[in-house]
Amino acid sequence: MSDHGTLSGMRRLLAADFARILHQTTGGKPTARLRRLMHLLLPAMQVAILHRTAHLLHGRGWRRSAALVADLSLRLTGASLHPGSRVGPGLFVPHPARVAFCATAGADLTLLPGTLVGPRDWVLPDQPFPADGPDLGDGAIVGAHAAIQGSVAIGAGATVGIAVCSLRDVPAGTVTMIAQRQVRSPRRPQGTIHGR
Amino acid sequence: MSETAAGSDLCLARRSEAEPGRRLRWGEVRAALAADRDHWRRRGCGPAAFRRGYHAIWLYRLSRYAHERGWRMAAWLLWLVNGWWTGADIPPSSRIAGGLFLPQPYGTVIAGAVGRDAAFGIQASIGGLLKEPDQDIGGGPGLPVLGDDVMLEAGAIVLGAVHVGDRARIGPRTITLKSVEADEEIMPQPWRPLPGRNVAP
Repeated sequence: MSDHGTLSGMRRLLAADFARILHQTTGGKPTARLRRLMHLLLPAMQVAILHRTAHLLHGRGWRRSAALVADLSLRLTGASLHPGSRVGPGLFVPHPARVAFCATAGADLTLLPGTLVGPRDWVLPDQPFPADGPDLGDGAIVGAHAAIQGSVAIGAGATVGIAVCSLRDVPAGTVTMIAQRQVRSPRRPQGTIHGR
Repeated sequence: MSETAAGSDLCLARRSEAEPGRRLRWGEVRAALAADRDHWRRRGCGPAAFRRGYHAIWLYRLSRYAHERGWRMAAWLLWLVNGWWTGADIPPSSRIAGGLFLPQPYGTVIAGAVGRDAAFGIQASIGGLLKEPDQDIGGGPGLPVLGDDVMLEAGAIVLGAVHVGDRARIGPRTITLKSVEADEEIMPQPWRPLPGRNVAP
């Protein structure tokens, strides 16, 4: 946890992020050096770099500059992470569009597209970090279009499923899904729009 | 309504949403913007002038004014600038009364009619389904109508020609295709754990 205030700590965190991104995208197979370097330009790596920079600035008390970097991240990648949110090593945001994050998280966090993680009352990036945000354990996966709202704890290794909105705690290792059954109906004849 | 300046401002802000299809006056736009700033102040978000969400509302009100005056190219350009600068899609054809609170405009779509003092969370959207365009209940073809003091939390979506009553609250990531009563609070679907996977790593 001492990695969060210093420049060398930020380098270590970014190295961990890069290793995670490389492992996820190449599947752990041996890769040529140029191709490895190419992964530095992936949107996941852009999010990691910009968030670590903003978090460093936020920790130093440069809140406006941190908000500026967070805004740049929103413009470049589409993910808006609150600069005060403390994320452990191995942040992986493969598709950063419409990702909003304002919480604390452990190591190896995965945020899939369209996730909303934050307190019920959303704060702007230049406002101080809220105390009632969610707390995600190590290795948490937040699925596509899922939401975690309020001061809830997500256990280590838990997976919040597709489009699940969690307002209560998720125990460690749980995979959550929407409680309702999918509605299925027999296939309509071809050639009609909206069944009419 | 009292005869004070603030009272008449509020009256103007209210009237701009009361009668659809009427030509907007510039004083009504200014009163609606004053009501917006007042709502921002009440929410404790500091001065609204440098917030991008307030820029979105400001640009929308300008484009709405141009749209109502019949300057359609100007309205379209202002809508385009709004999308580029703030990331919010608020078409000038939607009617929004004064006092809109929109702190994080990126990804928000507001197509329909919205009453006074609405609060939209991050990525909260209202719009239509492109399915029943002949249904118009006041917000436009197939678009929703929101009452006063409605609150949409983060990611809430209202779709279709439905009414949302006054002071309703729509929970985070809730998608509604049906009408919501006044003073009602609706919440998203509950989740359940996937069976057989409840083992800690």
